[in-house]
Amino acid sequence: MDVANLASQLNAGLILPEGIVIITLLLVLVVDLIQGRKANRVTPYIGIGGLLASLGAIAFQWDNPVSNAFLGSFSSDPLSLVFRAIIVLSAMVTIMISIRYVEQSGTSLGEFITILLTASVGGMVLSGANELVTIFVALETLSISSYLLTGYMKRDPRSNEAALKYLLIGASSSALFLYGVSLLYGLSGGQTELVAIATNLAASDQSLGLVIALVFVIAGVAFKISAVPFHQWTPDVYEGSPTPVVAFLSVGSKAAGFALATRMLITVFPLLTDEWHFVFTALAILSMVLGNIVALAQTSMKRLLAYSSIGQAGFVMIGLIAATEVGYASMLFYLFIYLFMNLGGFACIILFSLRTGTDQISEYAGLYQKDPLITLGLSLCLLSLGGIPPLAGFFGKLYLFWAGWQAGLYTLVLVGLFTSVISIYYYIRVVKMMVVKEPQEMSEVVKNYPKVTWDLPGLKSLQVALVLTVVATTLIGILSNPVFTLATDSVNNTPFLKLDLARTGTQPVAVLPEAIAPANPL
Amino acid sequence: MEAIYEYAWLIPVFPLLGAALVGIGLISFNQATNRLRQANAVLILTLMGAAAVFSFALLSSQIQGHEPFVRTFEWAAAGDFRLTMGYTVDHLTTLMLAVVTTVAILVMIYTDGYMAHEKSYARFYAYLSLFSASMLGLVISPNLVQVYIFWELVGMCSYLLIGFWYDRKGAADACQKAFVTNRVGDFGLLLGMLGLYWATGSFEFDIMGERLETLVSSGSLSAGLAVLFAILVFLGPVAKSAQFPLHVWLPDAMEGPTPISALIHAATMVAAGVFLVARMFPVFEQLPTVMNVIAWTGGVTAFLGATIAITQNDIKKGLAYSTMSQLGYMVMAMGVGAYTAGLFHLMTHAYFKAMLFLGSGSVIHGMEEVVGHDPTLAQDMRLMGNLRKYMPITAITFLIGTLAICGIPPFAGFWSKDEILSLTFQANPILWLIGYITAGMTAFYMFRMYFMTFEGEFRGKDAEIKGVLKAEAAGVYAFGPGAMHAQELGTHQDHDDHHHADTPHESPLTMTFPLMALAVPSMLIGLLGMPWANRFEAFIHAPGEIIEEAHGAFDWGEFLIAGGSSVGIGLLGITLASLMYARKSINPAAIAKKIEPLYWLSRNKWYLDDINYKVFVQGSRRIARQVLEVDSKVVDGIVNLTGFVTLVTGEGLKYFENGRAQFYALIVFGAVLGLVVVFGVT
Repeated sequence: MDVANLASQLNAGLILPEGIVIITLLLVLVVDLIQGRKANRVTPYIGIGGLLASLGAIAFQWDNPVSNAFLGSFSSDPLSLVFRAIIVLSAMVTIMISIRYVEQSGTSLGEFITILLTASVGGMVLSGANELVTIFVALETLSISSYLLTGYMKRDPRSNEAALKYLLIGASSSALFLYGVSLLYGLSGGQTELVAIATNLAASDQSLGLVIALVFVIAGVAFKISAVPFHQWTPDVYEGSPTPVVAFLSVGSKAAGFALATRMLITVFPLLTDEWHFVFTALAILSMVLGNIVALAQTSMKRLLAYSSIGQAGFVMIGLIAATEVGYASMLFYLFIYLFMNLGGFACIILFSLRTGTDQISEYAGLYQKDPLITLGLSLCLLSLGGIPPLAGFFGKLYLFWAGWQAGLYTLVLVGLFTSVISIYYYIRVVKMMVVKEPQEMSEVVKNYPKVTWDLPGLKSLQVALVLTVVATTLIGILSNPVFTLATDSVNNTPFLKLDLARTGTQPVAVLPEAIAPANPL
Repeated sequence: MEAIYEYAWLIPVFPLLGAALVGIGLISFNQATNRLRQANAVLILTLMGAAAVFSFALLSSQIQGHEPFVRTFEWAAAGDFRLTMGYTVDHLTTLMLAVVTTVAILVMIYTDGYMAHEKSYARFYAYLSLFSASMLGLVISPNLVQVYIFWELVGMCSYLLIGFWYDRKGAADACQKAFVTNRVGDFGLLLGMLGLYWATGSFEFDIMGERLETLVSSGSLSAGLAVLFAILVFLGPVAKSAQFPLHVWLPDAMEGPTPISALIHAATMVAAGVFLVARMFPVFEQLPTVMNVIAWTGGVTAFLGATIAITQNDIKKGLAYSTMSQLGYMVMAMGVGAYTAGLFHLMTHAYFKAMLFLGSGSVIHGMEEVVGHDPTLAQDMRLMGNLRKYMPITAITFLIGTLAICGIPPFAGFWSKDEILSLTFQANPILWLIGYITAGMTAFYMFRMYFMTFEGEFRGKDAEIKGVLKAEAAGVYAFGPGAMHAQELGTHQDHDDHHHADTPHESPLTMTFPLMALAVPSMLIGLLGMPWANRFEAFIHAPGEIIEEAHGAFDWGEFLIAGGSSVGIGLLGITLASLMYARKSINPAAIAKKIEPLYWLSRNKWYLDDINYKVFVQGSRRIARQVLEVDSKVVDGIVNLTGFVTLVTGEGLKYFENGRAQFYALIVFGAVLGLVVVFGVT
């Protein structure tokens, strides 16, 4: 096997999106080093540009028939492409909404972007990783970067506390995950590739060991997607971290966690499908119930969104457990729209806290009078999260619940319906706080609200991000069909999902079922 | 000739356009549009005139023997469910088109005079035009669904127009009463319609009839069910045509402006019920039970209306009960299978009753100059008298109308009523007797009305009678919150009196012209239906019925007996009325004393309003209150409990988040251990 042959077999071109991000982050680092503080004008846009280029590379790979790279340790199938696109998009929006925030806090912007891009690379590789070592390295790249981002506000004790907690809990969950992975390595007789492991496990008879490995792997994954009861770091970390970081963690990092869960559980544990479905059902119910109920009692906007994101993860899990074509597609669809509605919400919160310095819910009272843009944006995003038609969130939930119902997950869907009613209560409470209050009921902060200007550096990009995400949240609701078709295509063209669907006997159906198609008039 | 059929859909569209233009003007440029005043009326009248010309062109084409024309298009289709819309032009349609457009135009001309000082003049015209459009749409509908749509539209227009003076409590209540009562009937209509569709799979009248016949005769649909559906459909006409027991809204509807009473509540909309029965004739005629129900409903209504009309003192209320009674005749005719006679009476009644109402409006208009703008005084016949001297045109036309309704030849009413009575006699002598007695009562109360209004002494300045009337009105109000209001109104009127004239005088030409114009058909149109040369019957007859052309064998003897007896009882009623109210040789009060319970039964409208109030209004309020109790205690309790439990749970679970990292790690390890144990055990 000569070198040229080997190089062609590696298919290294498939990691072009990651490569572009890595080059971008190096560029940001270098420019920041050379230019110092002046570089703040340039570096964010280098970062955004690089991520855009990476997005272009992802789009370019869409129809690529070859999906395995590096001798099978990385696969660039449509599923991973979708997840990578979600991560890249979330990183991009996060940079746009963080510029002003980081500058105002007086810390270095270049380093922030570098770490964020590193985390994105970690997440992207994790989405396509097909081999235990790659998975673990990618996971740790993502995790460690996240710890750093969490503690980025060095002078803020809350940020430090959050970083430390995140590190400790993260380390223990990583340890569990690593232990599970090592068990898999041992049980399969020294294999690291997921498919090979599955083949060897099927040959051997190691039920208890396999169950332990499964539980440990799930513990690692559940930590990333903050499913109850592995969620407890979430509120503390979200509250202490810089808000843009929370935005990234709640979308990008979570998407990477779902990518890992989908690929690893489906590929490695076909023998234990019932078991891991059972565990995930429990996790989903707990997440939906606890996330949504505790959110009712929150007074801080960031904690509210932290619990809401726990609940939302519970909804997404329904799609994964349904294990049908529509189920996976609706999971992808929901994550995609969740990206816009959640980041839009965070953009509004960041803008509000930049102008007032607080994120208490009660301080939003009467905001309608002073800042209609934030009010409108936040209302739309929250209503979409709550699943009010005709916003995107409604269709996302509709597809998820419908897929779950088709797959016979009646309990899950009923719990989902019930808890989303609860969630509407706390989302609407915020909207009501902003919109309904009389002028004399305005909070002190809103009474002293500064004049709305967009002149300060970094605010323009925040405004653009806000408008873009809100528009996307509104429009995808009405135009949900093309996006859903895209998600269905990616599920249909992904080899390991196709295998799984064929095995479980679900016929891939290429068309959206008639029952919900009329929901989209266009 | 085909072109006018192709464009027949323009007939309802013209008035709709007028209503839309004025309506948009009122919404967007309210003051400017209101200031235009008569320009609005001219626009709407022009469009209505265009519709009328069209209608008469169609009528003449149909008379000359043109084939009926149907044009439909698919409106909605889902699976094998198809809904078609369109229009149909046949004999019945063209007849109705002609009647509706002529009455509508004359009423619109009259309105200009009657509403001259009204600030919402333009709004009134817009409503009128909208109503005309709906009514015309109703008569050209080819199937039951479309009929239902326009049926609801005319109902809505009626609601808007009864409540035109929505700041008067009486009008506001009356329009709600009309609306709610009609809902009862319309709900029945809807149910029956859907039931018939379920049974026959069609909304087309003739197809429905055919299929129903096959279904019932083959036994695949029980006759009881077919009867039920047909009676449910008939509930619609019962409400719309003010038949017993859903007639209660019609007298109250007289709170609306008089042109409305003439157009909607005498000539056109209330006749829509009869029209629908005519359209549904293919269905009804195969079900004898239904035909009996229809006939008896009509007979009872005719009798009831006449008995109540005898004691009414409000001129418009009296006419309203008379309308109800005449509608009863039409429905009874339909029920005994006298299709042509019923529709003939519909046409003649539309003209003479519209004229009577417009005449009463003219009288009220004149009275208002003397007693002020107080309906309790201006409309009460006890204050009128000798108006013939002051308002000769109104008096003569009113007399013509009265003679027509009493069935005195050769006026229109004689021919149609006589035809109904003779056909009823052949079908059911008991019903004939009821109709015959009613005819006598009709003559009596109509001439009572005429004598009280136009003959004798003018009593408009009689303070004593005014005091009595006000006390009566206040007595009614004393139980309600309006008591203060009525008195305030009274004092206000007293003050105003000083500016009023001592005598009424004739209404302007815009009001008398329609009266004179309507007098012509009231006198002559009946001649179309002379039994020995019945041109009307040749034109309008029940679907499937074949008219024998040979009239040579006309039985003069039978006609003279039937006609003579109905003229006889009419003359008897007139004589009685003249003795009591013109010559004063019999004291009506003394008779009333003698038969006091009957007098009060009639005066209080057979206590039907009170029964309705007790049973339906109070009953449903009681049920509503009980449901409210359940809702506020039980349902709200459960909802609040759920919310409370959720919130408390949230508050409680919040403390699991205690901020200590080691505790978090403990939970993670505990969860992992728990899962392993669960799987290890199972």
